[in-house]
Amino acid sequence: MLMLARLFLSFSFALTCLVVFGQSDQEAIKAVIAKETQSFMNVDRKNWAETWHQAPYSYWSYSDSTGTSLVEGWETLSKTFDEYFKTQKPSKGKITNEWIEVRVYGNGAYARFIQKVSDEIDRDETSQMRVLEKKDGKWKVVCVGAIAKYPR
Amino acid sequence: MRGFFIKFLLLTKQQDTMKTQPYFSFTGLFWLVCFSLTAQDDKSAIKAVIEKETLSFHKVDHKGWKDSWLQVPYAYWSYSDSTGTSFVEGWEAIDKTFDTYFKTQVAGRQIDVARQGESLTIERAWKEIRIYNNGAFVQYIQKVNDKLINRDETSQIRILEKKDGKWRIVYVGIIAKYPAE
Repeated sequence: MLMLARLFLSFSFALTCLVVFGQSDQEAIKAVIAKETQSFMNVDRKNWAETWHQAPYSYWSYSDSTGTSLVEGWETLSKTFDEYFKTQKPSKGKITNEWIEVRVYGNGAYARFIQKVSDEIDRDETSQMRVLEKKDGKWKVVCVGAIAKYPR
Repeated sequence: MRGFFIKFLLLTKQQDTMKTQPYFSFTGLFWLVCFSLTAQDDKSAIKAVIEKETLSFHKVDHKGWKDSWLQVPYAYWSYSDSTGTSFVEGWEAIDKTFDTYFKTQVAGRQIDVARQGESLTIERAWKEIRIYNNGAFVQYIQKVNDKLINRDETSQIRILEKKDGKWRIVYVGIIAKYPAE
């Protein structure tokens, strides 16, 4: 009987750990994704760069009805946004992320969400994806994919 | 007596260590080999399922194409080029979207995009395959050589999940890649 109780307690503990760690990973992933967008909009280069895993396989893409852009590798990525961070002014737009899926695979994760950015003049909606990797206990972005979403 | 006992213990421990060290090294090497073989197997399996998805699509093999997908609500497909973008969310919507394609396309007919045999070859330059337990992130450049029509080079992203020992696609992202101006 005592053995059974111990087994049950161990199993409950393991299950709780799994749920708690799973949840904290999901929250950390959402936070780093939000930080990446927010720091980009705020023209805050230091924080934006910190949210990225600065690897040769880092990838960024954006597509809308007028065309597509894609950048491969952190070095090119950082160089591509150099002018943006030097010339742009922080945006006052309000950002909302509607989470569709966050899949955690150990030290890798895949997230999908709809992002809404609105200010006094404009309102943009994009279908977004991210791939993230956990390194030294911190989740960082390795892939950004954004596609403009238009009303049907 | 106490000194002798300690000396005896130390000597026994030393001999044990000498015996166990090669054993541990051998075990470590064994696991390292197993680990790299599994990683290689996973990489080959991932490449194979990606190739299968694309080829079965072009050859209008509906079953083969469906088999390469993990048919879940978070499955996603997107294509973007200079003329615009399309994306489809969820397996049900993806399957429905391509239903007409699989019903009406005839492989090899000039007005259709589907192809059979040697009229179509696909070149891939694998850029990165990252495996995280039961998930994988893949990047590559694809060029479809078609004898009948000219096709764009594309930058491709895949996310895959391993379920019941099989890798399947959950995300397809395709972006046309144009020569730098």
